[in-house]
Amino acid sequence: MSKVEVMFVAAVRRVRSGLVALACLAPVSYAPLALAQGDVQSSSAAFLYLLVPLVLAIGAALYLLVIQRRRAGLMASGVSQINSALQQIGAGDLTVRVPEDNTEVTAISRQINTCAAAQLGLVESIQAPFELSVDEINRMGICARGLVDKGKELTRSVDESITAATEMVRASEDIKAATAEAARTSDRNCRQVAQGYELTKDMSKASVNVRESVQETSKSAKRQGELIQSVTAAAEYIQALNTKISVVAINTRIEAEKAGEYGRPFLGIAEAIADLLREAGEEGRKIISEVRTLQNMSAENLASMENTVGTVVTILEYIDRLDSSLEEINSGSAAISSIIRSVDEAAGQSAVSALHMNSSMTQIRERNMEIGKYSESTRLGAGRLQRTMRDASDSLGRFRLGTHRAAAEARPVSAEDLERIAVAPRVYREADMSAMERADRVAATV
Amino acid sequence: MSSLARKAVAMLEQAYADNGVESPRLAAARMTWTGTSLGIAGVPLLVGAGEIDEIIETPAVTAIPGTKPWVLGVAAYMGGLLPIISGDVLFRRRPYAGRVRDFCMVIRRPGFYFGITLSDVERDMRFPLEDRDMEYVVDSDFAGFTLGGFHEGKRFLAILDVDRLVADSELVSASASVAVSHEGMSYE
Repeated sequence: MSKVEVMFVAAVRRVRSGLVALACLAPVSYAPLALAQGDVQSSSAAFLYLLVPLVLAIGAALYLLVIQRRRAGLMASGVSQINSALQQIGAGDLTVRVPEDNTEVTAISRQINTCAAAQLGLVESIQAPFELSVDEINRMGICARGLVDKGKELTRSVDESITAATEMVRASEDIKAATAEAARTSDRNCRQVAQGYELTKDMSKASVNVRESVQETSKSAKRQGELIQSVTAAAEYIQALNTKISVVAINTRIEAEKAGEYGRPFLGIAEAIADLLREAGEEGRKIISEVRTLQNMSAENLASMENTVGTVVTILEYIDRLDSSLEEINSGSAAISSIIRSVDEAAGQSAVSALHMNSSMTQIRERNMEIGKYSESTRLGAGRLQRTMRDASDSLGRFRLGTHRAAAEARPVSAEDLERIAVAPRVYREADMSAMERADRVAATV
Repeated sequence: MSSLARKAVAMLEQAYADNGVESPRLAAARMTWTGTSLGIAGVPLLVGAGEIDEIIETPAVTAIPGTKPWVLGVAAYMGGLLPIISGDVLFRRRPYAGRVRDFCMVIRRPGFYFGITLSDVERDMRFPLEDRDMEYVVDSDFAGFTLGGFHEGKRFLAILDVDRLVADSELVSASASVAVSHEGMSYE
């Protein structure tokens, strides 16, 4: 109990004792007046008047003494209870209550209980938002960590995009080089097609000449075949004449044999004619055979010429097709040249776009790195805030608010959570580490 | 000088004796077979000298009814009538509708005088008699009328035996074997 409270209790006792004494002395003050006036009856009465108040005063004094002692005991008990309760409240147990049945300290007990209840409500009203704040700060830490991770992933993606854009620029340059080469090749093809076109014209003229020559030759061959036919007929006629001469020679020999000795000269003549006929017959057969061979060859030549004419006609058709194909190729080459030019322009525009995109990506990367720095700062701030909240939670945990509620709700943030928040769960590249180092320095300035 | 000349003459004599070629000996006269090369029904044949009376161009013939198919008809020849026989039909024993036979050989034998068409007429030929081949198998249609033959190049020339031909029973009778009278066959 404090000194103020002790002084307060003593003052109250003194005031109460004075009031009781004044109440007892009131009849006694009347008796001396009666004795001074000399009246026996009045003296007896006065004695009576003195005795009775004295008795009454003594009784009252005893009563007051008993009452005083009883009240003192109650007062001591109440003070003891109040002291105990105040000690528990001072230790942080706001659930403790002072009994209010002690009439001596009822008001004080009620005030203390009211004050403790008010403090309990205040602490509870502070603890609920505090817990929400702890949860939100934990979420903020997780979000900050995820933000840092995402920022690094975004930086890496932007780096890859920059690399891809660079490759795209290089590819566009390659495409431009290839299209330039293709354009040159297409021009060469156009020139060669033009040469081929001229060649087809020459071939067409030459084929027409060949066809005319072959047709003339074919006519000559036909005439030659007719001559060979007539020669064959003449040879066959000569062969028939030879046969007739042979018959004559045979008949001459027969007749010479019939004539006997006189026919011997005719026999010699017949034999001579037979010899000549044999030679003539052999030569005639050879001539006929060779003429027939010649006739067959002429027919074959004629057929070959006709085939040649047909082939030349086919070649002319092919030349026409080739001519049309060359024209199509020429038009196709022109279209290809146009397409190549379009591709070249598109590649140039693509290269410019890629350069722009590369620049934009670089800026995005720089902004993202700055965001990463801020996110890292946020993460560090969230970590520090969590540590502060842990300390505050430890302090709040000292208040005893209830039987099971305080242990469950006043759980402090564990160090593992702080470590999980504080340490990034991945291995970063050297560029990322250097960015993180720079981010720390920037966080200090922020 | 004279000795040198004699020595040279002796050496020349010796040289002639060493290098001289003997004179060819006269070969014995070879017996030859002489005949005429011709063809009947496309088969090359030989007919001996003296067996053909003559060879003539096939004359225009007048058909003779009631004769066998190989009888083409009768032709007027050198003031007389000459029966013309188709060699193709006679030997092949089937009708012939091929190329016209331009020549025919006239055969005269006692009791026979006719001409037989030829598919080919070549010339008179001579063969060594010892080269005659009697074993060579000739066309079956001519096998019964030939008597050996000679090889001439790649072909074989069978010798037609005219006497066998004349003696053949088919050639003996030229009239159709079955006389068919058309008289009285009219339904009227």
